[in-house]
Amino acid sequence: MAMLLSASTVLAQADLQVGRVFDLYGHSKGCKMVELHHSSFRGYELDVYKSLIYRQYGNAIENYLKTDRKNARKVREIVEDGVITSGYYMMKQTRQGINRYILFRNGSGQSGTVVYIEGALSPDELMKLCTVNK
Amino acid sequence: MMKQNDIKKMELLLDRYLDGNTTYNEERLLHSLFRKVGNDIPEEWHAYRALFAFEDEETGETMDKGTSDESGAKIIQMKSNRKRKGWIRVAVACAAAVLIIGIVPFVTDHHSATTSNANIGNYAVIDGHRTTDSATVKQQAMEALNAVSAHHDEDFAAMTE
Repeated sequence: MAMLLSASTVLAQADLQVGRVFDLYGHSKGCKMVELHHSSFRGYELDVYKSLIYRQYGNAIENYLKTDRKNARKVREIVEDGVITSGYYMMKQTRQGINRYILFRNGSGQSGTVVYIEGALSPDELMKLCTVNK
Repeated sequence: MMKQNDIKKMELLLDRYLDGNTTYNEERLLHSLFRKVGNDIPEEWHAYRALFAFEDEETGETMDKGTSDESGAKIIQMKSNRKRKGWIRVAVACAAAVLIIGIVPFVTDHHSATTSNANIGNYAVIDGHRTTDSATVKQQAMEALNAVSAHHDEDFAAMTE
């Protein structure tokens, strides 16, 4: 079953470059990758959650994400000095009623974080999920 | 650790290889890179590494039996290419079988995922080391989610459509 779940993730991201990011860098040193299925985060049920925290490769990963960004609906973007430093993007559905999101935030140097989420949550709910009190 | 240059080089060569456009020297380079990086490659490339390792083994056997002059070398290369095409067909057939066996049952199973199997397939990979410890996995997931999260008092130029 684990193999089947992995296969599902491959399929879920088959049309997205973010899937390649996880495949290429997820097992690299200096990177932390997580994959969760049917998990609850801050009260929201997510079908698929995948994340990657990286200390290097920022430029390469940025190039992959650029491609996905072109085909996305922008939910939120933070631009500092003309550079996109953070963004939430909604991708085209592959299953009815199940939304797919890519979230990223650049850190210092080549570091950063990218998250892929799949679930029924709306863009408004995504914003609530990803807004925390300092 | 696998170098970024090697990843790019291997990616380009693999694309050319799968299109059947690589030269003999490029294929040797590809084999050499796969030997050099060992296990430090993306999961999707593991099948290629196994294929190339097998080819290396096979070519070595052929060369032992072949001659060392120029015409002999050409014959060895032709045999190697013929083997490659054959093994690619086998690999494609195996991949198709895995997809049929693995994915078709999943399609009917996916929406009925229960609490008992919900944790299967959950894992974290930290510096190349995989763990399925649920506390660690959840902690790492929350770390990433916090990293991309916005704070209420964050000063930003947000755009919402």
